[in-house]
Amino acid sequence: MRWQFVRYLRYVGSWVAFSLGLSLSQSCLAVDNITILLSEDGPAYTEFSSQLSTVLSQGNSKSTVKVLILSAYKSEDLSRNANNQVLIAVGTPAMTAMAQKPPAMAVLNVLVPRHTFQKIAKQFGRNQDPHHFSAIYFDQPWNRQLGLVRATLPGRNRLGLLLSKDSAEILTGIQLAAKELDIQINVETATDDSELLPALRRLLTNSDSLLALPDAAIYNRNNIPSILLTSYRQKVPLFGFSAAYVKAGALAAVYSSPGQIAQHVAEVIQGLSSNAYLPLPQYPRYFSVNTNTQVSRSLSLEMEDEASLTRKLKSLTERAQ
Amino acid sequence: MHFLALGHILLAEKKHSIPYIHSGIHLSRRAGCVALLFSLLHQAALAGDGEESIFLDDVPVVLSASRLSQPINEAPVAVTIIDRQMIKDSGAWDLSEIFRLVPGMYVAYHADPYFSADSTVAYHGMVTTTTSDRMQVLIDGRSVYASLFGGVNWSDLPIVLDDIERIEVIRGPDSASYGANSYSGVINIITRHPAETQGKTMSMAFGKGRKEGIFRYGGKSGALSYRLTASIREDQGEDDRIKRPTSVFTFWNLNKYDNKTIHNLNLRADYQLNSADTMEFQFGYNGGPREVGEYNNVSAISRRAENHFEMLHWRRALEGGGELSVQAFHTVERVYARLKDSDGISDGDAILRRYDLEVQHTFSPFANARLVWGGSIRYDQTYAPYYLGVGDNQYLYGDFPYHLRRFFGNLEWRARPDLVFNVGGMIENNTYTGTDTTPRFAVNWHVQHGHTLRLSHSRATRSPSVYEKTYDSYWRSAEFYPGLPEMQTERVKSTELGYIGKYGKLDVDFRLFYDDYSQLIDVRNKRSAAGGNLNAGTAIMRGYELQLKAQLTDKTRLIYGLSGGGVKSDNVNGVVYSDSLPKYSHSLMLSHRVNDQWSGSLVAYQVARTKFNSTDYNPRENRGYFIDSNRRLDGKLSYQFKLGGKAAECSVIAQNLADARYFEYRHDNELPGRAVRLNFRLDM
Repeated sequence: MRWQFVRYLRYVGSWVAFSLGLSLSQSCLAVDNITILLSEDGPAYTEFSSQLSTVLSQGNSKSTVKVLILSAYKSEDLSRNANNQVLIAVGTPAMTAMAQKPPAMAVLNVLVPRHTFQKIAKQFGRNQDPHHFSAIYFDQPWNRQLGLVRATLPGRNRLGLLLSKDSAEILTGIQLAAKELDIQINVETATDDSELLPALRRLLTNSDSLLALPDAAIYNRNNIPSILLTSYRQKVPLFGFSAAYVKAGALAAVYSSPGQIAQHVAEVIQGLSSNAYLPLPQYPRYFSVNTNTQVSRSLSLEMEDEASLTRKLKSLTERAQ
Repeated sequence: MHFLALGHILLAEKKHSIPYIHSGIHLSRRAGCVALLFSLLHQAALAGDGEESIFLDDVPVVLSASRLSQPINEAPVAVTIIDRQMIKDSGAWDLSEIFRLVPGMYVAYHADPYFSADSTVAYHGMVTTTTSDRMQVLIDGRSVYASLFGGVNWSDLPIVLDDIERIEVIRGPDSASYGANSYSGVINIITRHPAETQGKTMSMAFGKGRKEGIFRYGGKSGALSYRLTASIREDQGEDDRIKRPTSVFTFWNLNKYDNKTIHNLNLRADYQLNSADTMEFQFGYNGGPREVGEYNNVSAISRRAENHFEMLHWRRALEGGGELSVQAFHTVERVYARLKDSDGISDGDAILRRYDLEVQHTFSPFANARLVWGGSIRYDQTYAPYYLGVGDNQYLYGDFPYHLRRFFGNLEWRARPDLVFNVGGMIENNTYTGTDTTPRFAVNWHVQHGHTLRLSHSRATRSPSVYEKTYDSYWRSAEFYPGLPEMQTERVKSTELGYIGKYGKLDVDFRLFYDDYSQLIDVRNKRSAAGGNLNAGTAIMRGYELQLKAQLTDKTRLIYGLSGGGVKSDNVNGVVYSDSLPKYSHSLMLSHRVNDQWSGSLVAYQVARTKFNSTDYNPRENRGYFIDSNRRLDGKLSYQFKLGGKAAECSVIAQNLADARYFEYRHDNELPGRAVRLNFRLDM
């Protein structure tokens, strides 16, 4: 009861904040100087910056967009003026640089995993002022990830997670989402590479599916063949966290592309007032679902198509917010 | 990874500028080439060192088209899957024994007394030679069907049971996919990927007449994973004396010579070149002394096998789930033998070589369709002077060449979600019989969820072995029947109706089949040659097969197989095909896991009496004889525990628990009595 009440309050709160934001953005001068700081010029980063520029240019705002790359960046490049300014730090290196040497303007971090953002913000004491050092995470909220498991494999509610021993913080919040979706979470920890297969085999004995986590100590290209093959032999499908996983043999994945995050960022920017009071760190608003029908067929799993799974997840996420 | 040095960044403060990045165009061409090559091999990171790279990186395509198995209700053929657990639970000692669990499979222990003391594994009986030459056998796509007599010498295969991931047995002809000799069925053995067999494992077995030691090491180094398995096996085979002989004559009181020592060494290495390409390398060796022969007939004074193979398999995952695969292998099967026969001491050496290259492309030509097509070339060279010395020749020297070219294709079209069509075929050209086409048409209809009907019609062939071809040349020589037409492939037209159903935790697989065999080869019988046709045999085989898999509880699994049917044949020239399919055969396996420590299984087999051809010399039978029905019971009990923190397992396995004495295939081939062995296994 109490939870529901709190959720209701949050719901109301977010609406109030949203409408307030809207009215503010209309009444005050909006942010119109946007600096994008890319960690590097890899395709994902440039996809983000070009998409953001495109979306902003389509909007009514008369913002200027400046794109910098970390390797060539000097703090003099940035304006000393905090008003009407926002810096979008793309990727962990850019975020770390901005956390270490804070610029005058507010920093919105993107393409960063949630636990990395929290770690860096804490490390450099930037977690005190989330409205000036915020993020749109790269990862998906638990209810969306577990919602995909639920929607794809109804009735198979034992979900296995394989973790390295230093990554327990990745799991923050999962139990709550699991409880809401009636999913039972089983966790196994592999301390080193030799422990990987034994831990995985233990996990497979009591799991109906596995969820890959952005834990590079486990989910790296050298381990993925072992994980995918071993789970496939046991007829236990794997859920990934990127489109590449689905191509590799995962059953499905929900993820946000850099372009989708750019869309979200553009909407955030358009909603900002001139003091660039950033919204709290949040998960990406837009996402895609990919499925591997060859794998589902091979495992004789009946599964809805990508479009209807995406629809289901959208309504699920909206309901939860 | 940065291969392109970043130049300075030119970013004007233009309004809404699209980011323009001036990258290192000034890099030298050579550096560019190196970078390109390097990036081709290591398309590692699209993203940099940031922790977000895990969301952006390419991931190696692991479950590519050829690694994914087709669910049995979508396959155009009937398939029995034997997984690792089944192999373990069966308590099988020899690879050939596992096939007793396949409905319709006839297995006779160590039946061949002449070339190698190996088991006969024949789908749907109709065994006219001990080397079950009417079935194709592949290990990781590599054909191990031997050129000399056809069929497979099971103990000569460089493989250890524990390295097998699964076995897919295609029940019925499948020349459309696997070419000639996939005539009555196909056995597809798939070994475990090295990524699944990491670490050190040691296993030892001791039992009556049997000893074995296996050591396996699986390692990984970056994108390379590999496995090395070494084993030594001592097998005393059958008892020397027959306990319940059919005759008082000495000849019928003794089993064949079948002691063997098997040294195995296997290497498999898989290298992930980049996220799309993988290279697999395999090497295998199987060697050691092997006895053959029978008392007062041909037997080996000394005989040793030396076999090895090398295989390279490149796979590239394509967009949209497609795949390109190129596989090349080389096999050498060598026998060094000194034989004793009526002529005194003979040289029984033989060398069988095979070179094979296959290219296969899988892609989706249009929506809801998948096309697999490709081609292969093969060259076999057979040297076996003693065995090819047919008729009065004691030896026929020479390396006999055999060329094979294939072109194949199969289109799988999902016309509706509940309707899958498979249309395919193989065009094949070989040195002996020229060009053949073997088509197949199949439709799988998912009548409702969990219930599928399959109707298929296919044609298949078996090409003559080198031995048969040599006989063909012999009979067609000037001194015999110069007008005798050249020998052709054996043919079969096969029609079947299958049902695959799911009732809760029970899986049902039932099929009715009607196989029309023609041009069946018989060369050893002078009547066939005199009659002007070495391909005179015909037979109609009709029957049914049932397979049940039931997960009775979380801990108990039951697998049952039943098959039955009959063969109608004119038995031309006295070659017996009638009744060569047992009227029925069953197998039942019950396995139960008591707790984390204890588990066990019971396996029962029953085969009805079966008629065989002339290889038996029982004086009371003329051409063709019956082997009585038999029953066999096997059991296994395992205890798993930790030894110094490592997983260990102790098992006791008893084959032929009831100590039944009966014959398989021949009346001088009495199955060993109760054979108990202890197995200890440690994952180090």
